[in-house]
Amino acid sequence: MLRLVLPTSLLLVCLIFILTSCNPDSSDPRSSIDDQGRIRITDRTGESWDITYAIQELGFQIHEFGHGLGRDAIQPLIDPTVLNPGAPGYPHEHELFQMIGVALEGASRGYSIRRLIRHEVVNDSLGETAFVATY
Amino acid sequence: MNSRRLDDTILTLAASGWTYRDTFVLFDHETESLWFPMEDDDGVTRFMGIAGTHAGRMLEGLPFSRALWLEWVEDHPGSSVLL
Repeated sequence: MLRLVLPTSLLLVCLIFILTSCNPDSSDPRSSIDDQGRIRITDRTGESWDITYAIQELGFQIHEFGHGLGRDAIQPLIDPTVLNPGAPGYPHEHELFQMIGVALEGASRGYSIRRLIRHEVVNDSLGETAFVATY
Repeated sequence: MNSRRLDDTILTLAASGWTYRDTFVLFDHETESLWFPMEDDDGVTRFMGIAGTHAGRMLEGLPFSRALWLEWVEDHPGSSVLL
């Protein structure tokens, strides 16, 4: 039994060593360094983004950036039209949908999770407070 | 839930199309800085500028609740809603 386990675990250790010693960042085809020495990453639309601070100051890894669908892939909501009590379509008080709620300056507003997922970002305000709701 | 006021400007945030470790990376329309949720010194998760003009800045966190509508509207009668 031990004879079998030992070579297997040795193989595994070697494999992990090989995998971790490769630096994927140096070979990430999406990344480049511009003539000002800035680290950039290019998304699928061809736009390149300066991520120097994230990499150099915060320890972000280039290969952990994913998707890169472009800035127009998901449209944010900006000052969306909301429903107030009494408006057509205002949800019944017994409805069970999941939401995130914020209460500020005596006013309160709920954001359904379903809607937040579709836009990822809602830019809104209550009273004098401008805020961003995300999910 | 974060304030989008930074100094004297109101930012407009949007998805950049990027994710980092499967979490959305946002950018602001005003300066095109990138924003990502990070823990502050108190362990509270807030958006932090990770690149661009606002790199290193953090947006103020605001209190929020995750709830079912029925619970929320019972505690906040008259609440407006985005469906």
